[in-house]
Amino acid sequence: MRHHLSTKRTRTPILYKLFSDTVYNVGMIPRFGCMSRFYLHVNPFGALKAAPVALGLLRHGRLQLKAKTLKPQAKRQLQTILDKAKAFGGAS
Amino acid sequence: MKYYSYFPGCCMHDDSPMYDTSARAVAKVLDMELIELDDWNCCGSTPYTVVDELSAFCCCARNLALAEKRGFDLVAACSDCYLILNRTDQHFKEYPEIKTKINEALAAGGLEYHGTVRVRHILDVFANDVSMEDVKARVKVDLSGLKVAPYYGCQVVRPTPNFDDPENPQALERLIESLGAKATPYPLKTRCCGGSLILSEEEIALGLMYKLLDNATANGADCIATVCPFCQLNLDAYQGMVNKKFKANFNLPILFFTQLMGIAFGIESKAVGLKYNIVPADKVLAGHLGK
Repeated sequence: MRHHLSTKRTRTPILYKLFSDTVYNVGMIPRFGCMSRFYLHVNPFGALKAAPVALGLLRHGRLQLKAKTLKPQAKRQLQTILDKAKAFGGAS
Repeated sequence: MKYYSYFPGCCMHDDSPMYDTSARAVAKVLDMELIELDDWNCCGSTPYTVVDELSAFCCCARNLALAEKRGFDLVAACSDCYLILNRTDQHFKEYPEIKTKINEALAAGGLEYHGTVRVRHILDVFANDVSMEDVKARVKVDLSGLKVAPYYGCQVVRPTPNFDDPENPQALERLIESLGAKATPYPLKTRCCGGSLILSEEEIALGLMYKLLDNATANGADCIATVCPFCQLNLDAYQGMVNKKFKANFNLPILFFTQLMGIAFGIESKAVGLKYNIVPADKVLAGHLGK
């Protein structure tokens, strides 16, 4: 993705972009939020296929509907760091 | 008592609480204390590295800078967190240009990193910071006869050589045998489970999981013990989908190795957290717990 070599035949770049945006905005990755956004983005009906898995996770207390986030001060610090990193335009 | 900074990672607070509670409880039994890093953030995992490598390094470097203030080794239970934190530390030390950029970004947030943190996986800590004789001495529950497939996954011993052999690691086998159970041969023990590709490339990921479950079953395993939350989640939660797709009949409990240690040490069931395992382990463990 960094080198614009991804192909439209795979939906993985969409997942990865959603993931990294969530890290920036929340500071953590809530599985439920990430899964939902991904399916809504690429194929809302695909969510139906994944429903038994999601229900199994929910039934066993492994799908948190309420996301845990960073404290506001820590989130601001992380975003300031990431904004600065982005301004460099890459690692090399 | 040995002290460590502990990086739980997002999975521990989300879909793998039993890894967190069992790891903390096992550490206590082994006279170790895992002190959670204050205000840690997501490691960025593989996706962030793919999207923006420098931002991913900086995301991790914030955690490393926080850990450096405390001074202990930084222990991650998640293989992905371990890999990404370690990779950031290595790049920081090996590439001066990256080091400069990371520290300029950290400075914007009032932090700095000097590269002194030793990043470790919890398997390394439990297998190498305590002797196997000490582990054996703490066993209270007889697990003899329980056949366990040791599953490392693809991230904990690769890509860079670390605490174990990248192709044929043995730390998990040593631990399993020290607990009194039998480690079965598991030729696919360092193969990938598909990770997050289960969402975007379901067919590929299910195929990988089928091979892992089939290989463990073929080698006579009663259950699989793993060190990675992605591997545990995929093999546990998607086992039904694997069965449906491949017309198989797997019913293999997937335990975290710390859950197995907790059971052997007689730790309270709340901390072991078997209720969170989707493929129930009760039947497999009943014969042993009842001895």
